[in-house]
Amino acid sequence: MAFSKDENTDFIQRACSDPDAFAQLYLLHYNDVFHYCVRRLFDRHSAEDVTSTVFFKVMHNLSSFDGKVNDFRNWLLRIATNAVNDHLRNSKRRADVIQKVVRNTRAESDFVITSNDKLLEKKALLKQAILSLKPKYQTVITLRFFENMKLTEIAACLGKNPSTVRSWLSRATEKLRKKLNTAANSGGSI
Amino acid sequence: MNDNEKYIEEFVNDIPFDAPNEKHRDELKNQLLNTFPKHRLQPTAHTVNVWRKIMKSKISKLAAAALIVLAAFLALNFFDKTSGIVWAEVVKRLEDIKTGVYKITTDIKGFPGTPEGYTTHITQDVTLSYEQSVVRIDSAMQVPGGTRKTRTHILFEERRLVTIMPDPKKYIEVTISDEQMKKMDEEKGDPVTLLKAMLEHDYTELGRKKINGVMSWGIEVSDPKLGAKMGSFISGGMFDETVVQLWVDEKNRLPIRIDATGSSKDGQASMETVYDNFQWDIVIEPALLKPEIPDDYELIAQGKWETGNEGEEIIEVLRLFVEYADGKYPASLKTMTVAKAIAPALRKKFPRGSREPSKELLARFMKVDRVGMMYTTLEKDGKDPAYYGDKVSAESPEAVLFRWKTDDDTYRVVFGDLSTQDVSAEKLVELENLQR
Repeated sequence: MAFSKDENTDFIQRACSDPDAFAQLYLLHYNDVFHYCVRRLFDRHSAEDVTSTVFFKVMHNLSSFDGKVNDFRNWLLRIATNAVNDHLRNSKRRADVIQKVVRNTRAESDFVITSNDKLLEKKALLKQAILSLKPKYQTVITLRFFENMKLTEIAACLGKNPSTVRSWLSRATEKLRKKLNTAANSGGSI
Repeated sequence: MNDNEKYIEEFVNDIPFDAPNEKHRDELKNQLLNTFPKHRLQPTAHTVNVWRKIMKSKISKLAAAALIVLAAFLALNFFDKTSGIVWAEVVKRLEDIKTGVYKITTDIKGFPGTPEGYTTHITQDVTLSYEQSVVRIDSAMQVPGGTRKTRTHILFEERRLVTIMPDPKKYIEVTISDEQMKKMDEEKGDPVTLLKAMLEHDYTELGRKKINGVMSWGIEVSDPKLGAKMGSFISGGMFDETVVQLWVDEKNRLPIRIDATGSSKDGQASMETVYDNFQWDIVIEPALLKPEIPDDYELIAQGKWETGNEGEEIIEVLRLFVEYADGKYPASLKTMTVAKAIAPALRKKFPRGSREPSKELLARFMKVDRVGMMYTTLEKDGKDPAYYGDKVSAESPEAVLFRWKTDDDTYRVVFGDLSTQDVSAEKLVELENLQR
């Protein structure tokens, strides 16, 4: 992606009123948003649903992006975080997602070559462990370990103090590690 | 990073995830555009309509060529084996390729001028616009003592190559003949061209593999002549042995990863290269594709690349060995071998802090980079070249050092002292038999 800050702002402003520019903006960021969602939800269809929600929100709220945000991607990730958390807020839905994850992973492993079995098993454990955390902990885990963001970047993205994010990250990683260990020792159940 | 973070970082490493689905992306785009808030619509006079410009582009013929080759490749390797492919969608997808960016990461052992055993790490961020017919390469090379950064633009329409070195504030400019430019345009070293080149050789199917969670299909070519078709490190007769694997995303039908290894026969130099982080059809800011040279940058060398003169240019490279390396020629005309052989002599001649070589001399040194490519061009053009630098030095004025065919029955022979003579094929056999 090759825009300077000013050009990025100008481009985004045009995207508010020009469908062509909006389409380009969408295509530039679709993969980023989908990647984030699929790493939060571990399910393609849920990730696509939430990605759709995110871009409809972006389309309707783009004019509120005031150009002071240094990183448009951060703004997008914040919207995506809210959308994913909304999606998971209903505890029943969260339980459903976990069930679906387990089923999908088993189905996947029937088709994937043997050398990937171990990774799929790890993925299943990770999915169950992450999805059993509070949404805010899931968020910092995903941003830190899948989006490779620094603590200050996560703080900027979420609009929180770095010290708050540090504390969330510390608790999140501790809990996640415990859950992963428990799951590994008990053959997969959290 | 504390223990918990390290544990999780290691745990999540390599875990595969679903890749984006193009169908969903396109459907969502249509839904969004259909419901775009009408009250916000304004005249779009100032909008840069990239896609319209792309459609008018002269360079679209390149994409069309890629289309034919890649389509043939997919037909051979995928279509019959996967029922899920809709052929028309593949064709449409390929027609639309106009820009690309990707990263090349290379580790070279035995890089000229580095200590023995040192691995030179090079990263290159490549920006490619078929629309504007420009390739930009931002390189960072880690050498003992620091990182050297350069920015190269190959401007196909202007027939010009510019390499800018920001740290010493210097730049190099090369003009390229029409014929050479045509060749480069056909063989510019991008992944699509690489695929084309690979398909012209015997290739092995590697089957399916997940790469970063994306199901991919691969092919492999281990023909050293592949190098003659390519730009970058796997190109231009750089190494004696080359193996290239190319992996294509099963869903979007575009390259996702390329692995290349190369090595010299004598084992002195080797290379491992990975092309990844591919993004296709992204918007590229036009200013990025223009070489901006600040006023205080110094032009240190100017060169000219042309075709049809490869044999004579190779003699010019060999002359550097007479002048700076006591007439001891490189063992082969592979670029890495030649560069490794001349580097110590030049370092001795121009030690750190000494006066810089003249522009003319630098222009001659620049030919070393292309010597392997020049030799393979002679091979490709059926000019039957042969080189005996492993046996012949400047002290053998009557021995054949190098030769190539100048017409149907005439060879130009270059002797150990770099004198030349045009001889018949029969006479050549006689001369070469004398030194066996």
